[in-house]
Amino acid sequence: MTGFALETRNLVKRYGRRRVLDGFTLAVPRGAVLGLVGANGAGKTTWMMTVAGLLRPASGTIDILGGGPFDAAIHAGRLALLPQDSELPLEATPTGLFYRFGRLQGLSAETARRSAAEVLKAVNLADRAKSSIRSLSHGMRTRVRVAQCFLGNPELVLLDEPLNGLDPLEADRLRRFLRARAGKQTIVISSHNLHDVEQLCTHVAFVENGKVVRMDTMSALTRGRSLESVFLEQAGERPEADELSPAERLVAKLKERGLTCVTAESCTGGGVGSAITAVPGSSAVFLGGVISYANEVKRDVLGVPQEVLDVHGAVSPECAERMASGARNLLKADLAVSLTGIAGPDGGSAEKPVGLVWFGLATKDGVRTEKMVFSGDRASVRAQAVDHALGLLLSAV
Amino acid sequence: MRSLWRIAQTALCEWENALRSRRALVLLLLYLAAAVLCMNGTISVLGKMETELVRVLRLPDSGQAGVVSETLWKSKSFRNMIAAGVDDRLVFEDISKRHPVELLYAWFAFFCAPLLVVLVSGTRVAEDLRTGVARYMLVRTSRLEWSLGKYAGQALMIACALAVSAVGAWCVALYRLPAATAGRLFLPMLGWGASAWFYSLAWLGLALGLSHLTRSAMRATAFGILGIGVFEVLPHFFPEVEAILPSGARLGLWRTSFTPQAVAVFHLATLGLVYFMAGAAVFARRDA
Repeated sequence: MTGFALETRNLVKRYGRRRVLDGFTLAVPRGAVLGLVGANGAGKTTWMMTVAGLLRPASGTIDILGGGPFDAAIHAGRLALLPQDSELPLEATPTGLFYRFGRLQGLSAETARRSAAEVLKAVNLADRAKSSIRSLSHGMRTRVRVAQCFLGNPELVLLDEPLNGLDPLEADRLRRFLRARAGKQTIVISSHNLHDVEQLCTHVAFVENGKVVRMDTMSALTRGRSLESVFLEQAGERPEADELSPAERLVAKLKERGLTCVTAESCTGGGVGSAITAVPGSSAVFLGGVISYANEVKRDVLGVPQEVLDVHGAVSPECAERMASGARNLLKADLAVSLTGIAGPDGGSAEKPVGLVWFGLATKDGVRTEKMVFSGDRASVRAQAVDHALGLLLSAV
Repeated sequence: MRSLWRIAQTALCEWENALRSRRALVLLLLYLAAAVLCMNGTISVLGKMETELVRVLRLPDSGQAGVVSETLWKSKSFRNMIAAGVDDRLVFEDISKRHPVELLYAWFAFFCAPLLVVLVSGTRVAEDLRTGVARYMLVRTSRLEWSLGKYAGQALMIACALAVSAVGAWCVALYRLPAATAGRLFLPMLGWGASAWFYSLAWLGLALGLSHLTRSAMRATAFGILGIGVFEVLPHFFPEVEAILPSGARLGLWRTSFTPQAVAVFHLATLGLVYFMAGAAVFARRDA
C-alpha cells in the first residue's frame, strides 16, 4: 500500500483535437483534503470524471486506492463522486435512493438505512428524508448530492464544486461537516471559491491547461499569504489592491505611508495581530499587541481605570476607548485598534447580547469608538470582529 | 454472485423510480385506457358484425356478443375466412379453440407492446445519461451491471403495465359479457398478457440498446419508433431476415402447446438480449 490514495500519471483525455487533460499527473496523499484550483476549462472536472471511470482516457495511468483504474468490483463503496451539474432521480426520495446506493456499495440493509439517516442528518435534511427529490429546493438537492458521497464512509471522495448554490448558513454547516472529515477520509475538492479551498484543504494543486502546474501543502504554498494572491501570482497576474486580503492591504498601505500600528484585543485573543503578522513583511509596520482578556490586564497593562470597569463594564465604549489609547501610548505606535465584546455562546444579556463588540481606534487626532453586533457562533463572531478591526485600521491609514 | 446482486439492486432501483415517474405513469394510464376502450369498442363492433353475419349466414341469434362469436367460430365458412387471414394452419387450429374476446385482447397487447416499450422504456438510459443520474450509479456498479439492471427493471415495469391492462380489459369483458363467460376469460387474458410480455422483451432489448447510443430522450424515442418500423417492414422485402427479427418468433406465442411457446420465448428473449448487448457494447467504449 502506497502513501497515496490516488495517483494519476500522464493522463490524457481528448475531445476531438482538444487535449482537455494533457499529461495530468497528481498524487493525493492518504487522509489529505486536496483542493483543485484552476480556471474554467483547466481540466478539473474532466480529471475527476476520468478517475471515476465515467470518461475514457486516451492514455496515462490511474491508481485508485492501490487497485488500479476504476473497477466497480474493487472500488464500489470505496470511492465516491459528487459530479458537477448532475441530477439525482427526481422521483426518488433521499432515503429510498440512499438505501439502494448503500446496498449497491455492499452495505447490509441495516447499515445502509443507518448510514442514509446519518448523512442526511449531517446535511440538515433529516426532516425531508422522505420527500421526493423533485420537491426539494436547489440548495437542498445540492446537500443531498453531497450527502450521497459519504454513505458508508468511502475512503476516497471526489467533490466537484460542493458548495455551489448553498445559502451562507448551509454553506457554513457543510464546511464544518467537511472539515470534520479531514484525516478520516481522503477528499479532493474542486472549487472556484478560493476562500473555501483555503478554509477546507490541507493540500492544493493548481491546474492549468490540463495539467497540474504546482502542488504542495496549503501552508507551504501560501506562507501566510492568501490563496487567492498565490493563485493570481501563479497565473501571472499581479493582484489588484481589492483582490488582496484586508490584512495584506493594511500592511501595504501602512508601508506606503510609513506608519505603525498596534492592537489591544480582548474577545479575539490576538486574532487581529495574527492576521497582520501572517502577511510577509508585516514586521515593518506592526509593533505588537496586548491580549487583555482579563480585567486585571486591561487595568494594569493598558491603564483602563477600575471605575470604568465597575460602572460601564469591560464591554463598553468607555473601556474600548481606554484600551486603544492605552495600547497606543504603551507601544508608541501611530495607530492602535482595540476590541472588547461577547463572542458567546454564553455571557450575553438583553442589554449586551452575544455578538456585541465595541471597537476603539486611537490615532494622533484622538480616539473614536464603534459598536457592532455580529451574528453566528463564537468562531464566526470572532472572525467578523477581526475583519472589522482590520477595516477600522485601514480607514485610518 | 456479487454481479447478480448488483444487477438486482439496480433493477429494483430502476423499477421503483420508473413506477414513480410521471411520464411512465401517464403512459401506463394511456395504455390502460387504450386497452379498455379497444376492448369495449371491439365488443360493440363484434355485436354489430354478429347481427349482420347472423342475417347473412342464417345462424341462430343468441342476442349477445361473444356467445354468438363462439358459434361463428365453429361455423365452417367463418373458419375458412379466418384461416385465410392467419396464414398458418397450426396457429389457426390453436386459436380457433380460444374465445374471440380473449383473442381481441391478445391482438391489442401484441400490436401495442412495441410502442408501449419504446415510449415507456426507450428513453430511460438516454435520459439518465443526459441528466447525469447515471453517474451516481456508475461509481457503484459496472456499466454492464447498470445496463442489465435497467433492462430487468424496465422488463418488470412492462410486466406491470401488461398485467394492469389485462385486468382492465377483463373488467370490460365482465361488464359487457355474461358473468360466466367473462369469468372463464380471466386467466387466459392474463396468459395473453404474459405472452405479450415475452414478445415485448425483444422490443425492450431493441429500445434500450438504441437508448445507449444517445443522450437525448427525444432521439432515443425516434430511434425506437424507427426501429419498430424497419423491423416490421424488412421481412416483406427480405423474408430470410425474419429469423433475427421479433416477427419471426411471434407466431409461436399464439400456439397452445408448450414446445412452440418455449421456443418462441427463448428466441425472443435471446433476440432482445442481442439487440440490448449491441447497444451496451457501444456504451462500454464511450464516455458516460
